[in-house]
Amino acid sequence: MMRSVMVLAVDWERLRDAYPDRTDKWLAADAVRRGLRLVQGPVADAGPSGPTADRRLAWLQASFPRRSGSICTQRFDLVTGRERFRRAAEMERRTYDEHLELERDLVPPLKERAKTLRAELRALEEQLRQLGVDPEGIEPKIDWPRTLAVDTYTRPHYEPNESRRRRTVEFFRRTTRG
Amino acid sequence: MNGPDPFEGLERDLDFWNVSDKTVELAVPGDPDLPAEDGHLRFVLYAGLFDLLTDQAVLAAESEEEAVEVIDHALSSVNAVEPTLRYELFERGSTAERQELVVRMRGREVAMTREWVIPHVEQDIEAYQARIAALRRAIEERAG
Repeated sequence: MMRSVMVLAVDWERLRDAYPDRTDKWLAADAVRRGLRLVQGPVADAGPSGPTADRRLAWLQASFPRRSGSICTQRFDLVTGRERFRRAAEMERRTYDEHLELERDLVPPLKERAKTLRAELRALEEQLRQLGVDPEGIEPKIDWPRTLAVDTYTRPHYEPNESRRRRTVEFFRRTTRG
Repeated sequence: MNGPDPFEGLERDLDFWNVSDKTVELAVPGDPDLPAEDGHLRFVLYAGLFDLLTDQAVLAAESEEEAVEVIDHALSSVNAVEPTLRYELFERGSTAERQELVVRMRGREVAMTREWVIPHVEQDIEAYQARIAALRRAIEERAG
């Protein structure tokens, strides 16, 4: 049974260039065989200090592939994640703008209009009561529990970043002066 | 060197913001010792890939000293990228997770406002206007 594994094309090209006579199948099988031996073997100690070239080379051959493998695996995650990071940031900004547009421009005028009408309606009902008429007998009635309660609604205050920045600067200017 | 340096241009390829994100899918024999998780299998393959490149560097070098120099240089390039790579991977990954969560929650709120709150308030306004008109008529009749 075969397994499949993805690597960056640029890394695979590098290996192909180093072994132009070998097939992808051979290279992949040999890389996995070698990789397994390295990963299952002991981790090389820190490089010998002041070593001879042969000792240093032996140490590099034992440690460099494993270390590079680890870094390139993480690099693969980052590189293939770049699109996700970009998309997440863009979606976050888009939903922020959409939410802001709704809560700043669309919903407040509607709720304020509803609040004004509710107050006007109650004032007219009171006026009728004073004229000796029971407003409950007048159609159409309002099914109050089903309405959206907006009597205490106040428009949210959105402060632009610039004015917040100016206020912060002003605050520190005042406190450091004292 | 007797042949091309297999690590030529490694620094450029390690630049994780600019290197191409094109991938290749490789078929490997399903050894029972291979790790089940894709990321671990990729690590095994990458370790082997660099082992093959290291062998090639030794073959291409004219002396052990030259082989050490070439591989040491490649190791320095790999080591240099590690701290920022680890940081960026963690930072970008957690930021994206947070943003995706915010998008899901905010998306639900936006849908709720568009599909329920706004139509509901508009419906309420129509009902208030109809009753206000009826109350006004009643007041005029009573007053007239």
